[in-house]
Amino acid sequence: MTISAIEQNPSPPQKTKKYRALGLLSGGLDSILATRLLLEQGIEVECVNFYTGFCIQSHTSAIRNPKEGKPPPRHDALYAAESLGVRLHMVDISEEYIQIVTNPRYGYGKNLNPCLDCKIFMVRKAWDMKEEMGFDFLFTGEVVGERPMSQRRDTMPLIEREAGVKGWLLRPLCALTLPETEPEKRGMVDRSRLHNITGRSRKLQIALADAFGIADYPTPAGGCCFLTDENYTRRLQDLWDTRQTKIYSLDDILLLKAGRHLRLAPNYKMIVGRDQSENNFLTGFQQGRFLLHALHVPGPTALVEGAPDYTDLAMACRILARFGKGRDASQVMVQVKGGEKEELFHVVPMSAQEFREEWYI
Amino acid sequence: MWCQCPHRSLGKSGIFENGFEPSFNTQPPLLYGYAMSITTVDARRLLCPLPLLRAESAMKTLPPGGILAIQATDPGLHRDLPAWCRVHGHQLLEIQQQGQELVGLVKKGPRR
Repeated sequence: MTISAIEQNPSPPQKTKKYRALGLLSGGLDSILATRLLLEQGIEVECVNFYTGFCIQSHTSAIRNPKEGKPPPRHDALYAAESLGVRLHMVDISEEYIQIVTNPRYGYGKNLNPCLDCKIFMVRKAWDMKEEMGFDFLFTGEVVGERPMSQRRDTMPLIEREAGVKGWLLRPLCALTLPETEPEKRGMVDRSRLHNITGRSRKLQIALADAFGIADYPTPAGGCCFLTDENYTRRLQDLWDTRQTKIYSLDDILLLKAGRHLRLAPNYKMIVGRDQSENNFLTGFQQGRFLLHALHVPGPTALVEGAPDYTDLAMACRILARFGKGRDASQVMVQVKGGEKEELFHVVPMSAQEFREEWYI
Repeated sequence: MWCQCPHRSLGKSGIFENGFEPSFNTQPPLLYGYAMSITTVDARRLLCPLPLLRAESAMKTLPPGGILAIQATDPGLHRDLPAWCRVHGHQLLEIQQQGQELVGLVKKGPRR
């Protein structure tokens, strides 16, 4: 269907039977449009949003001090569901997802992103929900050629096949470039009102959004997953390397999102807050770690994790002092809390000559 | 300081189920007058959307009209909890704040 045709005839057709579809909604423009296209056909739509532990939400920026004049952070999928008027199932798959991240059958992308395995896993989970909740078919906002790993003409059929949903996964934005699906063949969906969008350009999606009067959507960016982020995955790889095994906890992956990370030795690392919000955030993770804070001079809070000895902690205190207002003082008092114990270190702030840039992870 | 919503008088005990004692410095939050029992979800330290995911799981165990208290430290709760309530047909009673800590009170809507 052309975009101008939508503008001229926006009302959905009358259907005798109301079909039900379950969609994967990230809250980005593509999934918003895919949902809207099916709603326009009078199909009853509900959506699911999976939480993997690595989702980049605008809230992640809330770890740091909010920028003045900027709107408060929000959960994109939730707002998309609200604006579309559909129900959203938010499902935590973070525990099961560990297997996907640590041992992906189809490997990683440029960083530690197991995009193919991830999409297969999510589609399979959504299919289970479809069966349990009585939906007729699944849909996504995928576009052929938009992503280098999971949205390619050769990998999209693989996802369907591996997830066990062959023929029942509709991609409304690019359906006309793909073989007809079962929902189309059986008259649940009017194929002539679907689209043939391909490639990485978002021009057609933006035009479609304009035609629908959709203006409030996230700016297209580099994906919705931290595992595609070079800095984040370097820290995750460091975690695995120093533990000599690919394991992680929820606390681990949350902490990788905040602060400056410094690997000072194989047995310990240091995370230094960059502003008051991050300092507060780090303070919440002191269990099982050492919490460092300079006394009497303004400065950051830091965590030390691993198995540091007394000398290591003194070194971390010197680095902490360097990041604070007392960096030029002859001595700074640093409070170190670890479990029930608390100790004061009187340290000389580390000089610029001593500090090594390669400590940054 | 608590937020400026109309406060109710407080007693000391029986505020939360699950043995939760709020770690606030002054009086406990304003939960009396809503229900005899309130189920609490502790989502402090967690980043969005985890507080909502915890709330969604806990809500499944409540009957319509049941009240859920969500403790959180992510300021995103101010914006997301009202939206989550609208999407699911729940009633947001209020969001209390003291320092970094938030408590959202939600009344479960009719089962759908």
